[in-house]
Amino acid sequence: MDATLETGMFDSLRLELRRGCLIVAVLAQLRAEHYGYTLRKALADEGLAIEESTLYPLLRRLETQGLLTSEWREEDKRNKRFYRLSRDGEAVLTLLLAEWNGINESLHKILKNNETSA
Amino acid sequence: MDLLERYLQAIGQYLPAATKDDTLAELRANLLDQMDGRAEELGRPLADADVAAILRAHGKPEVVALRYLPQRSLIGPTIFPFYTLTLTRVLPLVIFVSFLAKGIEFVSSRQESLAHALGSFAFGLWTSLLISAAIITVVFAAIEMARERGKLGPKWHEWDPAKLPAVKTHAAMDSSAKSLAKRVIDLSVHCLWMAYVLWVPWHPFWILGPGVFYMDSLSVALAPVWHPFYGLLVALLVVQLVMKLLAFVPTAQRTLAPMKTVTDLLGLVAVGMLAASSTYFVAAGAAADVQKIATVNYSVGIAFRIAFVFALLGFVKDLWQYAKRWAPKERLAF
Repeated sequence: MDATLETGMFDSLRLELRRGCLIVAVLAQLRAEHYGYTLRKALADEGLAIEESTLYPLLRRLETQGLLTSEWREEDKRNKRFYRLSRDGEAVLTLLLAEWNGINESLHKILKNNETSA
Repeated sequence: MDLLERYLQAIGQYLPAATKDDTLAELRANLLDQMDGRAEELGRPLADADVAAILRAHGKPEVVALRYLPQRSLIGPTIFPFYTLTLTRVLPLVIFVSFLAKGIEFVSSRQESLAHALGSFAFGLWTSLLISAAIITVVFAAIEMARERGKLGPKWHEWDPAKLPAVKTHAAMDSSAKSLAKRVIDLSVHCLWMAYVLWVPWHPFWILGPGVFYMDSLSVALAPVWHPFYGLLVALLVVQLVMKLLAFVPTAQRTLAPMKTVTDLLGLVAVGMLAASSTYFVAAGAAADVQKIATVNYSVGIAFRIAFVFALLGFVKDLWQYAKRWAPKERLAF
């Protein structure tokens, strides 16, 4: 396969894979309170780098869906919007993590079977 | 921080009024924190170029703003396949109807030139296609909106395997193997040919070319044999038109093969009628050169007889293939 095509295809598939994980990661990280900048830094420190222009609108969307709560507070002489997981958000996160673990387990089994039969 | 304020102003142009101030305040706070972090890394205050780099990495103002708007599709992935299917089915029909309407107008007009007719057809067709595509898009966008709001109901995507059509036979598959576009082109070309045949009696130049002037100079006219031939030709074209229309009806595919045999037979009779005749042109005045007319009649007669032989051979071959397909195999065991 052409190297450019391969890179392009991989990037596209990687984006699809990360898109599904992003919401779970953001909800999980917001068990503790964060504002946009610190949340992005916290996720990047854990190995999940996300663009600001993707993260900030996502936070707004999750809040509109009732999964997050937010409040404006002054910190370091600057007004910042702090986000935290709501009660509904915690419930949804629990379900998503169960789903995530189920998928993870299935994937491990598939890979193990492939290794055995290879 | 002029650059930052200009950036936020540009984003604000695309944000909804209700949430604009709130969104910009949040963006300002986050970007300022990002700039503070960058200044700390560099160990100095940020220059305009550093700020520009941060803003460039953040994204174009329009793209950033659009991400804050509700994420929706005009026609979503669930409905989109039906949308493209509708376009591919309807637009060829629009082409055919436009072509038919223009063809009828052209044949009945007798005053409009062919070039003008083709030009007005092309222009009218473009407008018709655009309007049709726009209407289909609006309808499907409305369906998508209804689906998003849960107004379509659960039954819209249910289907019953028992209602699938039966497996097609040879004849039906041969016919349906032709794509819709090919059938439309076939029908359109046939209509063009019919329009030409119906138009030619009043415009003999379009069949004889410059020969029509030669004919005038010879003082000749067409013999009576052409009248029944013309009638038979028009009947043949009408039957073929019906066949080409039936090609769009899946349940009518069985009738196509016998109808083809009928048209082959009509064609054979028409050519046979001309082959049997010996007079194709007659003297139209005292100035006519009778010997020249006789020579032309003789040459044309030979041409029609050769054509009849080939038409007869083709008809027998097609009849044999038709019989082979439908007769029980044990009867053809020779």
